[in-house]
Amino acid sequence: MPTAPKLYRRVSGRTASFTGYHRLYEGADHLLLVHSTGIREDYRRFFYRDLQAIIVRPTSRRRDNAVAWGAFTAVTGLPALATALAGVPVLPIVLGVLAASFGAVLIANQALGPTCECHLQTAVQCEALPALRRLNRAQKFLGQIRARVAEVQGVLDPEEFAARLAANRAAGPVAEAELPPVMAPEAPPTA
Amino acid sequence: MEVFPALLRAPATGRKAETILLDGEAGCFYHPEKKAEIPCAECGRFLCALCDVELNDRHLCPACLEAGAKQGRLVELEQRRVRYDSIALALAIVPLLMWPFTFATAPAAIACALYGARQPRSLVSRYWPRAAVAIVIASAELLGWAVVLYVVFRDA
Repeated sequence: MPTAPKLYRRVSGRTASFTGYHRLYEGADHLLLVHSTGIREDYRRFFYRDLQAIIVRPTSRRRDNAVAWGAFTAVTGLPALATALAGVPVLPIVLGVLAASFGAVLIANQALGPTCECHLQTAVQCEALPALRRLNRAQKFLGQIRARVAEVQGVLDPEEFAARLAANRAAGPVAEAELPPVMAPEAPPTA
Repeated sequence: MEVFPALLRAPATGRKAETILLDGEAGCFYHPEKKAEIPCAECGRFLCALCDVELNDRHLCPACLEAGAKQGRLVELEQRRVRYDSIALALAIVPLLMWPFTFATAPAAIACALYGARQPRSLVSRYWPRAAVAIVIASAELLGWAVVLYVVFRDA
């Protein structure tokens, strides 16, 4: 089978989950969200022409992770120090390796920057993008995607957007009379 | 929050198929009473506005769309693919922890890598780097087994 031309460019790092990892790719006319279990890849496509909004919300996950990894580091590092001072032979090395591993994860967590949640909205869905969990990566992604979407949809005029938003708010919810009729459920048969 | 112009776009409305009014007008293959508007890009059947499904600037009939999705001919509709290169690599490496199993898993790894080369591959990753590593490791395992068997039978 001939080698297929490269259709996608990676726009996010690998984000692990319980069932595998997620990664986001940029195609010619759509974004591709890949969930890989290692032996199988599942694809979801989001076309640039359909994107209505991308919502990035900062979260406290970085702080929570720092507390957890800091606690693990302390719980293993302090006994390692105490047993080393007491002259215990092997235990300080085992605990020291564990503490160093937890400490490395803690440092990596801090170095990767603030965390966030990212959602992508179209006319019919609002999907989470689990591949984007760090704010700096999400901002970089927004910079890339903005240009792509602008090529397809054009640029949103802020004044027009504000005017349309105000008009929609003024119009309020759709009146009940304008909604399509709902069929009444059939009555259960009686004996 | 980044907002795009599609947010202000009115929801798309479906097209209605026109009924044939004049003699000699071509009818839809699936709805003979409806006016044909375009031929299917795959099978050439005439389609009305109801049956016309547009996919990446191609106009397909529902049957070709379904067949294409089932047979993997329409890459745009594919939702999953199996990573035979990863399976082959796992078959080559993981059994090294319990090395006697490599007698069976090494040929399986090579077979998996070669079988996967003829199957649809990942849309985002290259196939051969992992598959080649799997084949090299599995071949080394087989070579090891060949040496072991040679030594055992020579001594026997």
